[in-house]
Amino acid sequence: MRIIIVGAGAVGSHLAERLSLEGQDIVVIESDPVRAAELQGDLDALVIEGNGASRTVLREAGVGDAQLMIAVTSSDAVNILACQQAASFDVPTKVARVEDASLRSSHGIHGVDVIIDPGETLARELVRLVRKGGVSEVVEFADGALTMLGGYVQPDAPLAGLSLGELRAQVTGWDWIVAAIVHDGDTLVARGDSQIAAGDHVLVMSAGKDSAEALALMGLEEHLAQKVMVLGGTRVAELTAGLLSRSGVTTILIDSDPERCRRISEDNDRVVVVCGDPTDPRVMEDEGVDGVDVVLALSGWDEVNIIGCLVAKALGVPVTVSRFHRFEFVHLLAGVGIDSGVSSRLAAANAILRFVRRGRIHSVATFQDSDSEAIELQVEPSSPAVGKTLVDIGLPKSAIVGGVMRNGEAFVPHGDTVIMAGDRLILLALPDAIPAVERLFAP
Amino acid sequence: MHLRRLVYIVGAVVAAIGVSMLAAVVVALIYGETSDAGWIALAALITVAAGVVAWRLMGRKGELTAREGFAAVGLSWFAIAAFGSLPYLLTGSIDGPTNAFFETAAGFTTTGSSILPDPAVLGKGMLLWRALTQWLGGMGIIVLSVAILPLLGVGGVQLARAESPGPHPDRLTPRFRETARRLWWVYVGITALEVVLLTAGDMSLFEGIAHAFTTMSTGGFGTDARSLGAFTAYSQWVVIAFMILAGTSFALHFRGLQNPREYGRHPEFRLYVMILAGATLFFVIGEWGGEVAGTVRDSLFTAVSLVTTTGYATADFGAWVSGLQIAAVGLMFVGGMAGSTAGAIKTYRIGVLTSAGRADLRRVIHPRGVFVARLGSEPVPDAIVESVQSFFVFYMMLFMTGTVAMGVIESSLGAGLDLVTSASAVASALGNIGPGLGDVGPSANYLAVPAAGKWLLSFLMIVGRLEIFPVLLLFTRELWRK
Repeated sequence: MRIIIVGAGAVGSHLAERLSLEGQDIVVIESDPVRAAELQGDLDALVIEGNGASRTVLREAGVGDAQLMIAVTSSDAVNILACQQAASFDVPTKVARVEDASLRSSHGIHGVDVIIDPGETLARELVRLVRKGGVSEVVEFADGALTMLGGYVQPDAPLAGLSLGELRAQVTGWDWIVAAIVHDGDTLVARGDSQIAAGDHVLVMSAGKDSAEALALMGLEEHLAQKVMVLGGTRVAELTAGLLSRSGVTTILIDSDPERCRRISEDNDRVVVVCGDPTDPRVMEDEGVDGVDVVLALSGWDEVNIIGCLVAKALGVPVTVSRFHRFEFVHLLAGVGIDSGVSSRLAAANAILRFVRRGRIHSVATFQDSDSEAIELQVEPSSPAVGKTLVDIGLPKSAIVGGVMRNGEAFVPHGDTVIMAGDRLILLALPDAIPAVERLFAP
Repeated sequence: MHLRRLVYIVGAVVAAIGVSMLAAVVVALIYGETSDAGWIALAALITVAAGVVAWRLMGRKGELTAREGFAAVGLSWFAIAAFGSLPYLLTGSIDGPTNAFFETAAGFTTTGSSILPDPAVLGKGMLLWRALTQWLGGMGIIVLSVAILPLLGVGGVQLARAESPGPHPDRLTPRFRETARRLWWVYVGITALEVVLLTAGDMSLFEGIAHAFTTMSTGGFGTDARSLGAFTAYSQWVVIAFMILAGTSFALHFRGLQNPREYGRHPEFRLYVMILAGATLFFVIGEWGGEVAGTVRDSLFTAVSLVTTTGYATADFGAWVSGLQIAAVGLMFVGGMAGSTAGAIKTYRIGVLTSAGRADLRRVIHPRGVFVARLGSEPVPDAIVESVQSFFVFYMMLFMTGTVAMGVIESSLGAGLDLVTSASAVASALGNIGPGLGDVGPSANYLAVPAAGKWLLSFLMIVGRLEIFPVLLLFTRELWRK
């Protein structure tokens, strides 16, 4: 499938890399010559230097054969115009990044099929994290009927030191599946004999109502955050603070730029905006850091975010979340004073990958420090798996079924659950398992 | 400073006022007051001639700078108060220039404080002139000139800005002239509606027009010594409704005509209604005990009359218990919405001041916090907060120095008007309300005030109507420097 990506910023280049590794034909259009040349060296993709909204450039990129257009430059106008141009070339799906909320009406934007806003996606993800205090990921399926929670296993947690088979016998009464274990940076799809150690990062699938028990498995406690401190005044920080304050959480935002503080304060009535160094312990103490439940470090600099989180932890804040631009930091630093790492690139990729149909598979979520991906697919009547139990269908070792949606209901399956045609399955899989999964359920 | 350009504006405005006197001539003729008609016609002739001489011969057309616009407006208002008093003097309705100037200033500035013990002694022609000064002054004579006369040209915007009540003139259309015209049409339309409703009650057509003129301008001149107390409850309810309309921004009326939901969405309108409701409730509780319908009507009437700075009275609030009297003086400072015909500080500024005060308070709790004053959910720029605060300081300083000056004038004459009278008269003049308390209460008049006091109050009325700066500017040396 030919995919045109306009704009090779953080989001665009990450998407290009990811989709190219999956074997898609990627054409990247970037207007900055230096950036374009850099990218050409790194990527197995065609990189064209030029304006992505120009018809000539689009024609050069082979827009006539393209299945998908993803416009993710930093300019809303260029993104929308590029999609509108692509629409005139009959590209079936056009995705545009649009940050200005006033441009998004209920009718959508002419010529744009999907509007994404990575900042807002990340902000919503952060709000979910705050609500579940202490987890590293929250992904909801089927309107929250199923939840996948990620977290670091605490030393005294039930999961620590046991194999999953043994634990299965101990913990009964509600349905849960440990889907994946990240141990020292390697992702394992969980099996009955998998051993979990304290400090491992695990992904647990459960019904939404059982999320407190799922957290207890990891040794974490679900508690409602009352007071949140946001460090930095980036767009993501502002959106997150706005969402939190509107949901009734006392929100304090700290940034060092007086003018930016002023603007954020103007636009967000309920957020207490404080002008000061976000890593200064005195600033945090003055604003009552001892009563804060969660600190979200969302400035534009990784260093500031890391130090901010460490200072907050030292001052007794139970949960800290940091935003990283450098992916490597995520698994290097998680657990060292930082409970979770987030990245807007990843959030954007998640938002877009959902709309990249690969056969009948939809990607739902990707995870910070793991290659695994949550996918959703529909079981076709012709599938060899229809009528068999989960243990009998011969699922590849690097994939696991975590949820089943059938007739409007969603549940966590057991080994003896029978697969039926028309079921929607949620799987966690490593990339190498995806072709086999597709052959199995949707031939 | 281009003096001749100023003279051009002042002359044009004076000439326009002269022309408007002809309306009084016509009314006097209709009622067979031929002698009055002749004298008013003479006053009109003198005024038009003086205006045209200044405008055509001494003035020169040219674009004004912002400060010249302010100065032109300030001077024009003193000029029209002077020429507008000619009909009173020539017809012999009022004795002496001091009283006539006071009555005219109270007219154009929509204050409505009178030196006449009983207005009914005037002829119909003069009563109409009295009401008409308020109606013209309410929406603004210069705004009217911009709307109908092409002669003020581009500089008209500067002029109208100086005359429009409130810190930010609303633009309804790209061209200011068109905006001014639409506002005047709304003003004329609502006035006409009130005339219809009032004449449907116990008022004659003449009384209906005179009261509609002075309600819509939040002026408060009546045709009877008992003010609105001389009319039925129906008329009082109609007047209450139209006082509330007159205290509302006319730009909001214009938008509300297209979509009534605009009213509910407007944060200043919501604050305005809350203030009215709160003040009424306070008066009702204070006056509780008598007949319920009458108590509620009188309380509402008094609250609305004071907040919108109209100054009509049905009940003599000067005879109420002292707590309610103090509340009445307090309400004299509030005023209606910015962009209405009301005077005083105005709801917009009250809202900004309290929000800015709250932001300052929060700054004590969060020393590094950044807090923004806002009205409703709309943030207010710092520049406007500062101008509102400085307006408030000037307003209160004028109130205090004015009160002291009134006290000095009284004491030096040995007349001995008390503090209540001095303070309430100054608050009332500055806020363009009308009646004060004590010797100048709703059932009394300003005739007994010494001449110096009358000149001081007249000056304060014009200062208050033009929202201080255009007048105080005239007393700065920088303005007159070449």
